[in-house]
Amino acid sequence: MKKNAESRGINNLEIDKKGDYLIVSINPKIYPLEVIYSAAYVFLDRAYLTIDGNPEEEIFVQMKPKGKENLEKLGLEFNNELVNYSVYVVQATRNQPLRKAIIERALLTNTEEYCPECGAKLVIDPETGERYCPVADREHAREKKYCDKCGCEMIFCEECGDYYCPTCEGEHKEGGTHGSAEEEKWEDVEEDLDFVEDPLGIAKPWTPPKEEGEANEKSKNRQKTKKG
Amino acid sequence: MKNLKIDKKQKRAELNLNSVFYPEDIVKRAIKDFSGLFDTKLEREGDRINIKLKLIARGVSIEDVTYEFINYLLAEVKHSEVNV
Repeated sequence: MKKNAESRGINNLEIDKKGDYLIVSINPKIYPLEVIYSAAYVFLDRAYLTIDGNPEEEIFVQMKPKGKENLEKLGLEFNNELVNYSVYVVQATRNQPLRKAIIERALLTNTEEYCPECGAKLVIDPETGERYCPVADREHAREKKYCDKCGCEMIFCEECGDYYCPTCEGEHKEGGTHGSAEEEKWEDVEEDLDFVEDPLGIAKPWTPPKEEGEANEKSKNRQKTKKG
Repeated sequence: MKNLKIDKKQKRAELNLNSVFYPEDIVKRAIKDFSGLFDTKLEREGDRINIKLKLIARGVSIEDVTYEFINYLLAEVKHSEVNV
C-alpha cells in the first residue's frame, strides 16, 4: 500500500499497490454509520463499495472505481461527501423539534374538536395555537337558574339580557318580552288550522247516500237480533 | 478488494462481510434477488458472513456480477437501516 494524499495532510486514504482499489479509513466517533452509508450510497454509480472494520474504533470503506477514475480524487470526494452528510444530519437533528411541531400543527388543523360543556366548535387561538370555546366566556361562567313554577332549567336570553323558562315562557318576541308557552302553543294550532281549511271539499271522505228504506230495515233487524 | 476473492476460471467468488454493516436478513434477501445468476452458499462465523457464489448465468462475467451484487447489498442496507 502507498499513501498518496498524505503529503497534503490527508492521511485516511490508502491506495492498493496495483491501483485497483482505494481504502478510506473513517473514525466512527466523528462520522456516524448512517453518514457513512449515505456518503457511500452517493458513489454507487461511480464505484463498487464495501464497508468493513470495527464500528466502534475504525471503519474502512473500500472503493473500486467502475471506470478509469483517479483513485485519490475519488477518495477525496468521498471525504467531502462525509462532511456534507454530517452537516445534513446535524441540521436535521437541530430542526427535528421544529419539524415535529409543524407536522403536528398541520395534522391538528384538519381535526375538529367540540366543547364538552356546550357542544360549540372549538376555535384555535392564532397566537398560542391552543383551542378554546368561543362561548365559554359568555355562557359557561353564568350561574344556572331554575324556574320557580315548573323547576326546569332557565335559559339566558341574549336579546333581553335576562333568564326565561322555556316551558312557562316562550321564545323571544319583538317587543322584548317572552310570552307564555300556552299562548305560543295556541298560535301554532291556529297556523295548523289554516292549513286544514278545505274550501272545495276535497279533504272530506266520500260515502254514498243511504236510502231511507234500507236504513230502516237494517235498524229493525238489529233490534230483532238483540231481543233474540 | 481485501474481503473478496474471485476465481474467473471456475466462475466462483467468495465474499466476506461484517454482519454489523450487512445484516444477515438483508444479505439473504439480496441473495434471493440474485438467485437467477448465482448458486449461493452462506456461512456464518461469529460476526462475519461468508458468501460463496458460483455463476450459473451465461453471457456475463463473474467479476461484473459479483461487484454489482456488492453494490446492491449496500443499497439495500442503506434503504432498510438508515433514515437519512
